[in-house]
Amino acid sequence: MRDNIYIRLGVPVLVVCIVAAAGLAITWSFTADKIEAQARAAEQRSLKIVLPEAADFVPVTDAGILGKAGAAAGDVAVAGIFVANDQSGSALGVGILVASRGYGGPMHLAIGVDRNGKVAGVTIVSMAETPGLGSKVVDDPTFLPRFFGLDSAEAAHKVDTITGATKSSRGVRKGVEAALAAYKAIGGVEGVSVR
Amino acid sequence: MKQFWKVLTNGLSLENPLTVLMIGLCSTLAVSTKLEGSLFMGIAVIFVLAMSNLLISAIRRFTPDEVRIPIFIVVIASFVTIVDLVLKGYFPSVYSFLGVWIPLIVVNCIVLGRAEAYAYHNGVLLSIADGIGMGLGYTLIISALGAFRELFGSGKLVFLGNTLINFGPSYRGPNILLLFPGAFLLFGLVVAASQAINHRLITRKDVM
Repeated sequence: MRDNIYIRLGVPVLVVCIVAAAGLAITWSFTADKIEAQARAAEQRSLKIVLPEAADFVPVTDAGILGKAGAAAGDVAVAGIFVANDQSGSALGVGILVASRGYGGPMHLAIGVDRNGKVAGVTIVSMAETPGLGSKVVDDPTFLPRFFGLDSAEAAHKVDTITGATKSSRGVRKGVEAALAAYKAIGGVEGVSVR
Repeated sequence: MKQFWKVLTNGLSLENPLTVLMIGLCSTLAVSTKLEGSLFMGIAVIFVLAMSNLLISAIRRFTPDEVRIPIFIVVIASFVTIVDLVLKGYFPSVYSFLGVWIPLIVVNCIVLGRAEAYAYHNGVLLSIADGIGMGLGYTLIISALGAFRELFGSGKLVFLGNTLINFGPSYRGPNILLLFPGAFLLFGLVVAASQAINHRLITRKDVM
């Protein structure tokens, strides 16, 4: 009789789990495209903030370029590289999405670098920093502009952090440094807009 | 049918999950800073409650006592994930406001509590009524809190991008309303008010 218990209790749980998994798979198939589209739209919105003059952003898909950028960025993950084109279709800069580490977890940043290799804009796409302390990196309107115009990872490294938000500021700084290093590694705008 | 309505309205007043049973409070206090977010949170909870109550009631005869909790959790988590995916795909602004509170519906005591206390022992129809009623009771309180805190805390009421009421830039509301202490204070007042109403309902019933 002993082995019966496993069947009597196990089978109902198994059946419920299978049905639940099937139901979720169906829901997923209906919503996956939609969720993907929303994520793309959010990406385009943040790129538009850092490179407002650009008319559209074309993602770089070349594995070689992405690999080079990833290697240059070190322990910061490069989530995407986009060529920013103006109305006439010529490249005016590169938008780079990175995932750095703050105090409260990953910080997703979008960094725009113009064709001279200077930071044109930085925005925080999402983060989980402590409200009132770490969140000063967004709430303090003077912080993100400190990076504008910088053209090397070394220069970005010298940017002062905010008191009370040291780790969060460092997270942003590391993200910008990584983006500038990646920009250099891929050969700038010319390196990605040849094709 | 009379029973159906009785069970449905039960969740709104005499057994309101928030003001009487006092469960599911943390999401209420955290989310109710905005009317729009509160309302969507309420709708999400109604959906999860009604659907999980329905399913749990339907399979209650095949659910062995010993493993009922894992089965409840799988059912509830599935419906919460469905809500999560749909909100993420179709209402991204609401999704980013509610954030972690949507997945946390899984551990909301109201849902598991009703599964255990009601749906596991009652018929499908009544269980749906109980789920909707409890969900409506939750939605009523959280939306009222949300509307009040948004209006008097920030000075305006925005719903789906439309500004319904705006006190203008000269209004400087008490910031505490938007913070947790304000939520606790306000919630206490809501509990007091609903106790007064419920007390009246009960005494009136006794007379009849």
